[in-house]
Amino acid sequence: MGRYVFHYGDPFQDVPPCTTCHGKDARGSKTLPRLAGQHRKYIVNQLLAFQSGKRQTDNAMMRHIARRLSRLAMEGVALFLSTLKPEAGSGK
Amino acid sequence: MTRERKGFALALGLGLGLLAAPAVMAATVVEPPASVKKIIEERCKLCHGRDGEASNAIYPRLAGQNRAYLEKQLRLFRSGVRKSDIMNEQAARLTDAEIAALATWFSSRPPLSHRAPRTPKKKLLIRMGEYYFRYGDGFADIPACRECHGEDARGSETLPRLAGQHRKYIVNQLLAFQSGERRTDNAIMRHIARNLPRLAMEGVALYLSALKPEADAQNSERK
Repeated sequence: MGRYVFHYGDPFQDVPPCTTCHGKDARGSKTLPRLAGQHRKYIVNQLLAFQSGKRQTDNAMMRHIARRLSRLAMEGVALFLSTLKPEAGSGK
Repeated sequence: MTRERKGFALALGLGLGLLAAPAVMAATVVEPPASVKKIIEERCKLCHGRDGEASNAIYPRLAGQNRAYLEKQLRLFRSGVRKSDIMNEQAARLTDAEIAALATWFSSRPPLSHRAPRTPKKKLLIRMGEYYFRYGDGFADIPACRECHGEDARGSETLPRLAGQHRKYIVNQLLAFQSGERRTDNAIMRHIARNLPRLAMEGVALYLSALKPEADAQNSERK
């Protein structure tokens, strides 16, 4: 389930795929955080914080997204991300 | 449990090219009475197909659906309690006996399935659906579908079979439960549908639509 949301988002609710911004391998970009290998629970907590509005930083897109993610989907995505293997040599 | 026997009795009857198979269970009829046949040929067939296969996803597949459930739905359509522009009219003049015979006929038709999708995206979506089917959503108090609809989604005597049903039809019914538009059989389904995001509905529906019919399954006693 997490893999689906990561690659395809939720087309029924205008949730873009995570890959769009966080990269194909969830390594993020210069400004966006790497998610690959992050703690599952931490990701879920941040998503919940975006959802509730508690986290107001970096939330331009994330607020919109988190509001449309069911808790189960959050758990799925977080679990998936946490299992992504680190790449051999560090990227950019 | 009755469906396997009916399936076997049906195959036997057809194999011999003969008439009514032995009535092991009540009303196991291979060929419906002439008047009911007429109804099927002239009306039901147009949307649901003669064998309940329903090639168009708007109309539910009836093949292999539980007899008691079909009968109940026809009665609900007839009385107008379950609302459907088409079905209310179609069922309006059916007699009890005709309803029983129609339910028996369609429930005896071999169940069908859909070809499983092959794109990576759809495959993932199916797995999402399987997750919900097997485990529900613990965070939203959604029980696993299989708890009521059975391990193989074949339903029970009173609950509908979901295996092999049209994806789109399942989604539409879930949305109808969610909005309150469908008020029949909704004691639990309303609660469930209200907590299911659309994406989950699509996943579950896709998964259910691709479940293989048990004609291929060996054991007949699994529920």
